[in-house]
Amino acid sequence: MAETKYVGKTIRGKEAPRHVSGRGNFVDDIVLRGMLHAVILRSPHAHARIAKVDAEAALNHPGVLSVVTPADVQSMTRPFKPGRYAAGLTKPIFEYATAVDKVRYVGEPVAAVAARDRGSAEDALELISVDYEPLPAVVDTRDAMSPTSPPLFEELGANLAWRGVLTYGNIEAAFAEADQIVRERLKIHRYSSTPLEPFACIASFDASTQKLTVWVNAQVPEVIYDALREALGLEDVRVIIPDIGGSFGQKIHLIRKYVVITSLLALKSRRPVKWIEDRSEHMMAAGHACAQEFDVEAAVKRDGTVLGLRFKEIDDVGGSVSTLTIHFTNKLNNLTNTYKVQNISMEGYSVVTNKCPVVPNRGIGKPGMCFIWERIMDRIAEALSLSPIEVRQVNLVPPDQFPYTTPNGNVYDSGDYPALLQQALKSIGYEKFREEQRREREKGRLLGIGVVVGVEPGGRNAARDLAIFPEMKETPGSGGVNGATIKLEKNGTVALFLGSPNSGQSHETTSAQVAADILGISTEKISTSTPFDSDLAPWGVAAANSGNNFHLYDIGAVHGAATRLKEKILKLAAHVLDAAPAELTIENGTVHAPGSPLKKVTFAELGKIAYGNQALMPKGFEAGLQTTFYYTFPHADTNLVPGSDRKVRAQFTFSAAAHAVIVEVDRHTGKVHVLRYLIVSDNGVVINPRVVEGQAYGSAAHGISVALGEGFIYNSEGQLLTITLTDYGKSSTLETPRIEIEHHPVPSPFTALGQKAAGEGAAIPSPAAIASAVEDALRPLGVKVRELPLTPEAVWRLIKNAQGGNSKFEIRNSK
Amino acid sequence: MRHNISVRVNDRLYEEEVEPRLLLPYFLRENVGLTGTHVGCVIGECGACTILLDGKLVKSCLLFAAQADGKSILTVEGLGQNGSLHPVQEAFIEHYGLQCGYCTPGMVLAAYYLLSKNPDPSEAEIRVGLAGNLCMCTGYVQIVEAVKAAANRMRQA
Amino acid sequence: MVNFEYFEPKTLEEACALLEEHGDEARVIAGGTALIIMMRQHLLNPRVVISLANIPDFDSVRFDARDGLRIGAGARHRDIELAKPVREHYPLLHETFSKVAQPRIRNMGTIGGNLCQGDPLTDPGASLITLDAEITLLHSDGKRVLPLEQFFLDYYQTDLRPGEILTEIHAPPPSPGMRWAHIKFLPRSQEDFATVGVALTLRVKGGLCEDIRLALNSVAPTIVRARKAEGILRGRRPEEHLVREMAEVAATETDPMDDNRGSAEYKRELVRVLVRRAVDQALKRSGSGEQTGRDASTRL
Repeated sequence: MAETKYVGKTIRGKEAPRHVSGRGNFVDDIVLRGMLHAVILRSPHAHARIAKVDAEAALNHPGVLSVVTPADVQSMTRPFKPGRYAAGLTKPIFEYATAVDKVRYVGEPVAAVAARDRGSAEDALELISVDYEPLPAVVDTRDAMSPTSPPLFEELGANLAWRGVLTYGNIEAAFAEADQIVRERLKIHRYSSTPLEPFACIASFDASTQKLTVWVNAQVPEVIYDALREALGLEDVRVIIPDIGGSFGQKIHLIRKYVVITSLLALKSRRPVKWIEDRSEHMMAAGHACAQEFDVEAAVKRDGTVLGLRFKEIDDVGGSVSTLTIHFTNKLNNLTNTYKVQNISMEGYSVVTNKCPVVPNRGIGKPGMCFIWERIMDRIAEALSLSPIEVRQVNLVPPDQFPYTTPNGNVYDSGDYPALLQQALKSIGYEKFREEQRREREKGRLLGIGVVVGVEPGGRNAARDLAIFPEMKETPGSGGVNGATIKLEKNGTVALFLGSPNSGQSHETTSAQVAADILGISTEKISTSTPFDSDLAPWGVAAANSGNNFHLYDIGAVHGAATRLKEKILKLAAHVLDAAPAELTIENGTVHAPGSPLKKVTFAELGKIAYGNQALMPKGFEAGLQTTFYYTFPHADTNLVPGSDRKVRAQFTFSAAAHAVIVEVDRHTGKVHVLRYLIVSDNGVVINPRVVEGQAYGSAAHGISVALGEGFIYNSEGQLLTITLTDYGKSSTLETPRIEIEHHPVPSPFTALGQKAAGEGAAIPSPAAIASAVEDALRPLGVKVRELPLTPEAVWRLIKNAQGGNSKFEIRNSK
Repeated sequence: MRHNISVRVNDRLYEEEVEPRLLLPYFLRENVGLTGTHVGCVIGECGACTILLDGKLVKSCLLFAAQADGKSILTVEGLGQNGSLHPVQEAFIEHYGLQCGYCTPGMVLAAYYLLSKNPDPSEAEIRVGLAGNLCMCTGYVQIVEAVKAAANRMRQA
Repeated sequence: MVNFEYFEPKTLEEACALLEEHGDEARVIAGGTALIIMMRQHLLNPRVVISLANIPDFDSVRFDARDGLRIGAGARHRDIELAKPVREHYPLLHETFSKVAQPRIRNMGTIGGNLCQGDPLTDPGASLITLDAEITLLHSDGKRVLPLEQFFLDYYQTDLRPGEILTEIHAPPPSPGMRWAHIKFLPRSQEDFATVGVALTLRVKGGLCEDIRLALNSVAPTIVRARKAEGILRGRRPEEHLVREMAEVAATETDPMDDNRGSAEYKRELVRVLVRRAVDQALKRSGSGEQTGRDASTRL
């Protein structure tokens, strides 16, 4: 095949032109004739019984056409089946689209109104009266662990809703052989990637055909599709997903409740209904990343080798059991990080509390896993008087061992971790910085450096959770499947239909690049369709807008469809040009045969034949020039479905990166300034550099902001104090540091182009990088960083409370 | 309880009857029919609703439509001329100064306004000028590069 | 948001009359940035909204060497920030106003609206107090002039009486050789209010601190004029141990709340640290009339 003209280059983005002109097509931009506007009534209590709901006055309010109450939801819908996110639930707990007899978090949806305009709907909402019987709120994780805390779910009895252990290798032997055991306790807090566009959905029901159509900014069509069919008992459901204003895992799970509520309003009123979420609603109820506490122990040899790692984690999953174990199970994806440890044990506890339920926010548990590893590495270095770099180097999987199988069954396709680390040290100027740090300490300046490494796994395996829950009743499927369709139009242009929605990851652009190289046509002649339409798109279980899946399944599908289409084109062209397919070349949408410059035929001419001229087609040729290809990962064998050894390919591809960050800490106010942030990244073969870099910058910026202070704060009554973006602490251009990135690709031998994931990426190691750097800066004061976030006050307290340290240092620098 | 207002949007006059409580971005999106102005937080924190009102950069969600009576508004749809894109818009495309596109109209207008006051801004000045526009996707790096590139292009033109 | 009637009076007299007529049901709107947010959150539900946008000359910024600075209450933060007399003669105000939220908000919010909200978290009030500012309040029955310091009574409570409109803010002419500092500590977002804000003016003559004003915001239910702290330095040489003492005393004059910006303990510590830094910064300045850009140390 010709060398790549488009893959590897940054071409003009296909999505960008509409967005810079204000012509994006978001759900709220869509208007249907006769459309009503909905608003949702939410619980003001963190924990309460619903005694009575009276919506009579609301229903009679002028302009109101339908109202949904908990009684309606119970009589007109079926509860959601606890899906794979709730794996581990031993008792069936039914969750409906709204609260029914109890509310379990502030902001939980209780009722809804649809009216002719938003103002009337808001006025009518005030007329719904709900009698609540408040119950004591369970807010603190430790309280929730206690068997006497008021249970959120009577059926469960306790708020400790799940516990489980999984061990690989021989952990006891590892700890027996160790020269030293190093321990640490760690905490990360609740946060969210807060997409700028909140939830939005329109539902329209055609009673004559019993077909429900929804437009929604959801990431995984299957979740919506299944939720509507299960809850409403409808067979014919169409899910349309236009432009999405950011998702980051926030728009996968809880959004299904709101699609059901909006659909119910549409069914009852017999009109299309639109619901647009408010920012404060999103902060309270759209979903949070899980707060986690870790108890970690590492069994190490004197030279720093980690023989075994054991950790216990407590996950505060909020007021729903529907995402009971996701932050635990997801750790199987990066369980051993970049290290060659052979013995590892994980113990998990999930507690329910009266806070917003957790959702698979960017990283889902993997930032926690990386935090565990990278913090313990620093701790090991300290305990053994080794440098933190040395300790990591001793443990990295060597480059000659790839493909490398981890003790839990992952097969790392490719990687060169020592090289990433080396390059990061060189580019950040590590040795020079250490000198500068020494000099500046004399003057009282507290500078610090943190260097961490992390894998970014990619490509979902639906069977993964069977490793922890072999007894799952609903077969979750296995591997992943997604498709793409490519059509050569009769004017010679190409139309590409992806099987996934997208929200800014440039799916249209990158898939066009892949197809263009294979077909030998310019990317300008390729158009990709957004919105995603479930009636038309070739989608499967891996249809999701996430870098994690797109790079593997969608790119694989596009590659497959384009390859097949090319074969078809050549077959037809060979017939037309009276040559053998193997002799033909394609250049710029024209097929050439050897012998004479006149022996050529354009795609447009081929199109005219394939769609309308039977006599010119070869015998047995299927008319048309359109192919569909559904991709599954061809190297999924071994550990695709876990056996009794619990080993499983949690994911299929493994990008990796080394992060190096330099910070300065103001010891009087605790404020941390990031002076430099560098990423050396291996994302395999990069299809479009600016796209991959954009993902790294964005995910790193968020991880840094999370580490330095953004986050949710609840009071002791379960009221969320941070419901605005400012209170929550979102970073602007001024708080976000400049980030540098260098590429160090190590192609995957398993994927169509050698590409690996880029999406969750830098969100995984960045919190650990900041923690490491801040601790390094405060080392002379004896400070240990164990908890996030590192707000100025938190850092100030660490300094205040630290034992030991250099008191002479204190006096000299009194300002 | 309705109010008559007359507003010029992208050089075209709109005369509408509105409820006093109608906020300006909804007037633009629904009455005028220009959906480029987005609503991300509706309390003036995120900048997605940024427009130019009588030449000043403002957050439209903190204004009633009635307060725009007699004034002139520029939205992102008004930036290009005769179907071609403004250099700021071109620069955002070329340098991937966006991902999901939701903050983009506000960000583009903020960049346009910044460059009209300061044609050769440093990186620090760009970051100050865009501080009222939040982006959750990009980490701002490529946005800053796009603005720098736009500044260069406009100075050469 | 509830529905309301919207009026656009053309004179202050008309506006006052409307206010008197509708009493509790009415609210005045100038920029609207704060009012709209509070109405959306149902913290305020006026049935009548009276816009001051069409009142002529309501947003002027004037300076006279003998009279000082007179700012119309309808002047936007941005207009005050950029006004020539402010930049030339009141650099403390230029600095303070440039830090209010960010330009988009400053283009919309007015100083009158800001002061009448009585929000102890905002910055302009503190700086104006250190300049001995006074305000004019107009009522159908007449007007009264009040030192700004006496205007703030409690959280969101000012001495604005029913039927009154704040029309003007007056700062006396700047004294020669006056030094100043303004520090706004922002742990995270630029949009946020200060966790602690410090405004300071002082005059040094013959090595002695001749006069001094210290005002703190975000540290109590109202903006605090830290008189006891001022007393430590007034009439004495600003030596390091006195400055420390002054900062310690200032912290005792505050009554900060535990909130998501920080605990009371931390805020008191910040007062100690930032008052010291403010004095240092002020002493480094050569005198009034000097134009400084925002230097890195003031942006914490």
